[in-house]
Amino acid sequence: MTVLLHPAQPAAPPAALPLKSLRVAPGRRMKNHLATTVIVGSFGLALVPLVWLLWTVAGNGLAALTRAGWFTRSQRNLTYTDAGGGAFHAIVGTAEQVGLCALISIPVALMLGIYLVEYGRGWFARLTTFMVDILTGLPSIVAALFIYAVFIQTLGGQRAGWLVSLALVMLMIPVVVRTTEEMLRIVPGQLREAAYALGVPKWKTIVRVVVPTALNGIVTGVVLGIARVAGETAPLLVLVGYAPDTNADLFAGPQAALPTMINNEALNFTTQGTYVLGAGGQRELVHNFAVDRMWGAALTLIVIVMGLNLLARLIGRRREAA
Amino acid sequence: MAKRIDIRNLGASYGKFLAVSGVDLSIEPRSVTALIGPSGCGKSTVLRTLNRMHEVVAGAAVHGDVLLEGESIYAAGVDPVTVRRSIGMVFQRPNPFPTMSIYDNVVAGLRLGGGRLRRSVLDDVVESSLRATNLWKEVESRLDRPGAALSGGQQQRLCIARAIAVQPDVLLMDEPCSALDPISTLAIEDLIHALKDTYTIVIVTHNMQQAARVSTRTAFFDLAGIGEAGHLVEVDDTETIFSNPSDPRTEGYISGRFG
Amino acid sequence: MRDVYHDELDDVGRKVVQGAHLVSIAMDTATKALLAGGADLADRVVAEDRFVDQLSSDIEDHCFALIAQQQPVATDLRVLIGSIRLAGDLERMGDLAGHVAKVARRRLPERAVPADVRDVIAAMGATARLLVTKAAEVVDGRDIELAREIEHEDDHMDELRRTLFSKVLSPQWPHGVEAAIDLTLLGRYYERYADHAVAVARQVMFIVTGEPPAMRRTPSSAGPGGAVHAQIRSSQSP
Repeated sequence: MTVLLHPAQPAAPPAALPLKSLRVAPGRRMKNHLATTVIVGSFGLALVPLVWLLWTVAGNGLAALTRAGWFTRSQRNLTYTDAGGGAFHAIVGTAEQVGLCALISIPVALMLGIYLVEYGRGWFARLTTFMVDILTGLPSIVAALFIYAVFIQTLGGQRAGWLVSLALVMLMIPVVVRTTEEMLRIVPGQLREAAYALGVPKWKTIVRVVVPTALNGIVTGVVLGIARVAGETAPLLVLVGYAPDTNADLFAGPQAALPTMINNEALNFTTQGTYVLGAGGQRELVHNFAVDRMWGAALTLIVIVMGLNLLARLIGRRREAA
Repeated sequence: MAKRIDIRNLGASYGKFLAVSGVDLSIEPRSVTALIGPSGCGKSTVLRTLNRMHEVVAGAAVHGDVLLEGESIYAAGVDPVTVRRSIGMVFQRPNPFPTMSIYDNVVAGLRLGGGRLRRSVLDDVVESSLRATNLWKEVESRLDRPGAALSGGQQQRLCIARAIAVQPDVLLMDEPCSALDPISTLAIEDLIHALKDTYTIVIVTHNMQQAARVSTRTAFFDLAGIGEAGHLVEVDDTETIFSNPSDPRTEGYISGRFG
Repeated sequence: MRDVYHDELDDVGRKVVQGAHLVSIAMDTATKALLAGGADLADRVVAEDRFVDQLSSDIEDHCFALIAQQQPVATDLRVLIGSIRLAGDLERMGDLAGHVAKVARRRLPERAVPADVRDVIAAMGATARLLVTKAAEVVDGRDIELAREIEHEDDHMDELRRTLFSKVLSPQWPHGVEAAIDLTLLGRYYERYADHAVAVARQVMFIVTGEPPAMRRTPSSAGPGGAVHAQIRSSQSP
């Protein structure tokens, strides 16, 4: 069998680099070590404030949290020198305010995210994105003042918990919209195409295919949004004040929340000794419970947000395993 | 069940760019027609106009007409969603729905297309579709596992099962084997051969030998030049195209002399 | 694109042309040996037939490998299939030339061809050369018109064979049975040689046009059996 040789022989290869050894060149090894050290060091450096913070808050607040009644009693009739009491009123307040905020924000933000990704074309979508971008940077005090101006000044309402929710809505929606958008964009176009090719209408494709695929990310985004607004203090100060009693009514009266409880106790915080006038007219050194309660409330807030985060992850893992 | 397709003077564009024009082609029921041609000649575009997927892209437009058993699918008042229920499509990369199990994937078209069906009916559909795609034996014990946990070839067969579960009249396949290994490719080709008697199949492929093996008729598309619109050069029985084509451009392409 | 493959296709074509030349020379030399004598000529033809066989085998192997490796379609496929068939025809043509040479060799030192049929045999030799030369041209140039001409030349060869037969079968045949048998065989060899040359031309037409080689046209060239019957009947008629 005659087979032609391949026609032109390739040109002679360029002079080969001298291959002294197969080992890693010493210069490279050193650079590798240097880079590793720098990166690990930066990571450690970034971790330091986080660990320090958690350590400080947990260290100082755990005592208050573990005392009986922290989660069931309020600060009713208690001053900073009286022992006992708890954070129940603040927990209820935060839960209700943030809850109402989430109830409003989540559907709105979800639909906005879906609109921007699936339907938005042209000038209206661009305007909307631009607006969302601006709102992302909105200072919480500005949102609070806006709600105050509209609902209390113009419409003549009273300070109450639901107004805080409205302000928080303005802060939470941009965060959730952004992450929803990102998560929806990550869903590959081929999935949508596969659904369209089966004769599934667009809206159904979004509801039954796209959103479920992006759901883990969206839930994470929602939790992030909640984490952001749960700690906002300015709307609380402007719109609802503080009350040491438990007030479960969102629509009337001052209501406590964890950030304002922290603030309230912080007003009584001092590093010097606390004295009261004793029975015999003497100055007596007493224990300042404000310190404990302040840290306790801070720790409670962190625990709640972290708890939500863990819940979101658990939901995500259950869905993936299912 | 299988229907004929008549393409009349079809053109398709993306915005201002005309991708393909002047296509006249008839596709017989219960046959396999292969669309071949160099990159950019418009064969995938033509395929996507057959089930109105082309217009999903923003700015895309279709001129001319496509008739399904004599009825225009582009007539005013025709719902693209309904068209796509009769004309199914399988894509290049297998794309099972990741959040659904194998079972749910197969019946996705039935469930999401509207209408509640009894569990027993769905069970039957799942079994018959998976048997038809030679996947039943491999997955019957794990129908509730995620659809994405299968190998590439199995995923593609799952997508084909999903497409035929809605009992379309026509099945469009856009390079269904190009992401698969040779064994899976041959399995899919055998499957196409088996499905040929029930469906009208149109397949776009870059693989000449696959077109020669699998199709009854072959249509060759070509470009006049870079940036020009594609057009249909020749369509004939596959045996004729591959043994004695009429147009020298067809001959040049299939012999590998260009493209 | 695919330069090496196209070069190899051209190589196959060159080998086929080379084969046609070889069998042309072989038949020429055999005819010379037949008419003019010369043991060495006859021996050479028989010995060199192995080159034709080797070439034919090479062509077939080469085509086989290209079909296996290159998935040829359309014209390329027809070239390869056609070349395999051509190789078979060429090998037979070489063998037929060898048979003619063997007849010449066997009857030496006498002449195998008596004087009164010499011109017929010479004419057959000339026609054979003409046919195979044209066939080689057809293979080389893929000229269809020339291929059609060859069919007519073949008719001429059939005429010559009929003439030879009528002479051999006539009651006045003076040269004996052995000579009659030899001449019958020779006539057959030349005729088959010409048929193969026509087959070569038809294969080229298949390669160029894609139409399968046509069935044999006329019953007159349907083989010696029918022709002999026709001759006997005509010679017996009063």
